[in-house]
Amino acid sequence: MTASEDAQLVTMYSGGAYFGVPVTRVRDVLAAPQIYAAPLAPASILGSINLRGRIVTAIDLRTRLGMAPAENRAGCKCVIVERTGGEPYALLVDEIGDVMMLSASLYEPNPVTLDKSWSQLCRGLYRQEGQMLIVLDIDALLEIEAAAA
Amino acid sequence: MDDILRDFIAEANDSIDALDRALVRFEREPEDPDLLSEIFRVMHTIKGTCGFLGLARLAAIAHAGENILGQFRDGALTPKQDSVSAILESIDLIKALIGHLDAHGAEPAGDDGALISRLNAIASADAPAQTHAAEEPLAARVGGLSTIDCAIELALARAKASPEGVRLHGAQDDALHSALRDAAWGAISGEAGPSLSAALNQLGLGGEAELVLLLQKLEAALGELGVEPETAAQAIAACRDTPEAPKAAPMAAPAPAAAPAQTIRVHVDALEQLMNVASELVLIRNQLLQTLRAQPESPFAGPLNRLNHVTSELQESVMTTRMQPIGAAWAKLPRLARDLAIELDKRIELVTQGAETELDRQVLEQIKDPLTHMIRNSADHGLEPPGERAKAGKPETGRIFLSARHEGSHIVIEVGDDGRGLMTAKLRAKALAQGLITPAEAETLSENKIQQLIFHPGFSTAAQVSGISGRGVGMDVVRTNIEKIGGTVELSSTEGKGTRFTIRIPLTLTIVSALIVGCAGEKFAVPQSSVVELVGAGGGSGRQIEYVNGAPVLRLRDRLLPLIALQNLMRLEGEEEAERCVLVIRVGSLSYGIIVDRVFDTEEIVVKPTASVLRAIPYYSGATILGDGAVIMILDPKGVAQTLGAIDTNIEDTHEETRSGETLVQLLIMRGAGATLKAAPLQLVSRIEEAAAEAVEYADGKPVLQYRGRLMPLAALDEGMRIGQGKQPVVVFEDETRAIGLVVEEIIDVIEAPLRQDFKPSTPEALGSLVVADRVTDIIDLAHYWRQAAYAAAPARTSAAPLAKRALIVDPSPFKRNLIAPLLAMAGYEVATAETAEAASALLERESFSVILSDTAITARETLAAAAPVIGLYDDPLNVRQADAEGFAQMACRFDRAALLTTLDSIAARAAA
Repeated sequence: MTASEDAQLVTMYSGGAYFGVPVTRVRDVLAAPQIYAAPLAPASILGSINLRGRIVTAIDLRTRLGMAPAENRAGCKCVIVERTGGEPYALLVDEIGDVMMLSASLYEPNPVTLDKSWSQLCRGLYRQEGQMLIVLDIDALLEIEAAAA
Repeated sequence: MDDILRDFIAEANDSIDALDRALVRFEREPEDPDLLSEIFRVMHTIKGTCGFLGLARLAAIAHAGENILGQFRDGALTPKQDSVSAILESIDLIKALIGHLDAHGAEPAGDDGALISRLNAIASADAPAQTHAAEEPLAARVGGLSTIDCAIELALARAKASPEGVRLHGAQDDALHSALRDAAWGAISGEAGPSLSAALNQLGLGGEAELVLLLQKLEAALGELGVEPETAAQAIAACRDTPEAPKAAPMAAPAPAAAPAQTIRVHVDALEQLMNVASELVLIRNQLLQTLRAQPESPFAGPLNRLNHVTSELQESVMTTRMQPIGAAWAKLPRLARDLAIELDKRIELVTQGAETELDRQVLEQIKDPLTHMIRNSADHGLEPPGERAKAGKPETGRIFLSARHEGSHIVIEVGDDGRGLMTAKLRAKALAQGLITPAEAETLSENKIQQLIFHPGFSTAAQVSGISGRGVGMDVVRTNIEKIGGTVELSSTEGKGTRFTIRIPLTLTIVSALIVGCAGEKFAVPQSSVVELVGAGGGSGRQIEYVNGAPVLRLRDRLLPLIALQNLMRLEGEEEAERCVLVIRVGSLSYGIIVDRVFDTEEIVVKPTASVLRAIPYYSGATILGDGAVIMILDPKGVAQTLGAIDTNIEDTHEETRSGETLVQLLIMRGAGATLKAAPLQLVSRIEEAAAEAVEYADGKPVLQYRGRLMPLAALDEGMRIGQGKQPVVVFEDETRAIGLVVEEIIDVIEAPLRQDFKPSTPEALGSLVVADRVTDIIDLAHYWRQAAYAAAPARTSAAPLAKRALIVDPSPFKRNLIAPLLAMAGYEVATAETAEAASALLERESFSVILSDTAITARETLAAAAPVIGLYDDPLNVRQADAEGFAQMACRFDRAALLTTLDSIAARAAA
């Protein structure tokens, strides 16, 4: 996605922030799936889910972005996104928003003041009434450093 | 690229591999006419197809190669190393051109004049003098029928491609081609026959324009095939001017419709996709069955059980589509061995066995390179130059041995040589110098451990550079590659006698049998192939986990087994259970234990790759979905072993240390109701099944089991055993026509033990007793069980031999005699035995036998051979020396039933003829 094009984003909320993911990268949206632990995995990886016979690794968006994990995951939602190359991952978020068509005129690059840990994972924002919509960089998000095993 | 071309490339690649192999064999056995005509046929097909597709460069080379082969066939030329090398070179070029064709869809530009003229020079060298070209008949100057055939192919393809050739399109290619070829040959050789224009007319394609076009293309094609321009012009003129023969010979009757093809080519991706879908289906089936277990009254029970069966069948069939004979991975090795022999100036014989053994094609691809590497190593470092071998009292020709066989769900590949073996002293010094071992270790490490060092990365390369070590170019790479596909490599080497690598690889990668274990509330799967034993520890089991400096160990049969607690490894929180279970894991020569809380079950699991973000964790080899839908991780026993640290934590495996010089045989150890352990040579066992009480049926009062669509009689291992009580393991022995199931109480182990008789048999069902792992074990007499299962009157095998089938076994070892005798009896032979050659000759004076089977240790072979064909029996293919084989009509391994029976059949057939 470049700044000059209109974008269609699936929006979601996590830890009070408002995020968007290009609709072309989203495969599915599920409500609170059963997560099976994967011991020794990095903190942001919650484990694996069984998505109709496929094993999909579940990533907690809050932990990935350095926010405190949700106290109760019972109501959380799960967005299945695809990494370049086709490998699916499940992003755990607090709530799912809408699919939105956003005009290129509303686009802004990452502000220079944005924390480094976020600016590496985000690809700019869209000005919205009320809250800024932060565009997530899926590939960067799924580039997870291995925890010291 | 169009489909025809694609098919051609695929087919050509197959046939070229076959050519390679056949030629190398041909060089050794030039007298075999079948082999030569096979080679000729393949080369001819390549040439023909290339011509048909208008691939001029390929056709020209294939044609030149075929010319030489033709001369071999006609006896005009004797195959020599240089001529065979030249043909191999032309095949290499064809391979390269086809490679380019595959990649770019067209032949590369280039000139192969040099090679072609070399080939032609060879072809004409021994042929009758051809100095005066003009005096020779036109047909010979053109190069005979084969050249014309090829030229017609080329010309026809091009004529069709050009705009004037439109009318030629209507014709059937084969008919048109053969008609034109016959006409042209008739014209050029001066034989009577229809003229070229008549041939065209007859097919309804007449017309001056087409004729001119064809002749023009033909002349060009002849030129490309190396015919001199002048000769080509004369040939064309001859074709033009042939007067119409009085009556055109009737067209050859159309060839009978070819039998419908039994095979089709399928793209690998399609099979992969099918495999994936089948795997998914298996998972869904498992889930459904799990649900069914909770609600046994469900109305879906019937259909679900059917679904269960159908799914299993589907899974099996899909698996078989992926299976390929391992010979496909070996195809290039005879050629490699030949080239290496020339390059290294050594004499090398490559002996292969079991090329038909099938395994998953994915695995096949992965082992090609390691195998090539190992053969190269054997030839380069293992085998000595002929002079050195002669001095050591070995035959000058070194043997490289390659064999494959199935063992359970594994394929076992052995690569060995009878070369100089690993020089342990030098390895020791080298390892010490490189700091891989401490001086103390250098003193104490066993030979086997020192030899394992060649797998150590870094060690090998340096050793190669200095050139003093026995071998080891990149053996670490070989091991890594094999371990990547879940395999293991073991090494055994005797200095001066040779080296042998034993590779074990799972048959398929996608579905494996696994133990599901639990630890601190989490479940994990452990591939069953690496679990050798389960041991209870703590609680009431009597065994205790002990701690040495904080590291857990377990005493197991006088060995200390290092342990890894899964809970600590996985950093799982939870109370330590009082009673735990230890999985004894074996990876290569390393044994260790994993402590888990409990073992749930064994399950066939579908291995899914680990997500890329989890790949950095070395302990997982994948993930899988259980029947209840849960996702669990599959532990990688090799990865877990890394936590044990460097090689110095390796523990000695007492099983491997045996008296030297004795052949080890794998024995299946089992137990019946009695206290004595029973053993059967594993090579005689075809499968191990499990029979539930309700599956056992009775026919004529005797217990039988439905097995692969027929009834298999069951026999109890010993008298105290009752058949049909709960689930019982059944050991299946099979020959071509029947099977017998031995019901046992428990399968204990498979161990390697030297085969020798320590005690006289104590019971009728035993051949003898021996001490295995410090316990007295009876070797069972299979014939006893066959008799018990009402196979007493051995049904005569359908055989070509009407002669009385009488066999004499000459072997000093009563045990070995008793091993073979029942087998022969089953094959319909009347069997007599003799302990020594003298006893045998005495017997031979009184009676006659159709075949004699003799141990290679027996020396008076001439006496035996005078009476009947003698088969030499050996234990271990690697230890057969040339001297052993002398005087025997055939050689066979006594433990390889199938090969032995084939050998017997071939002798019987020869006798009948």
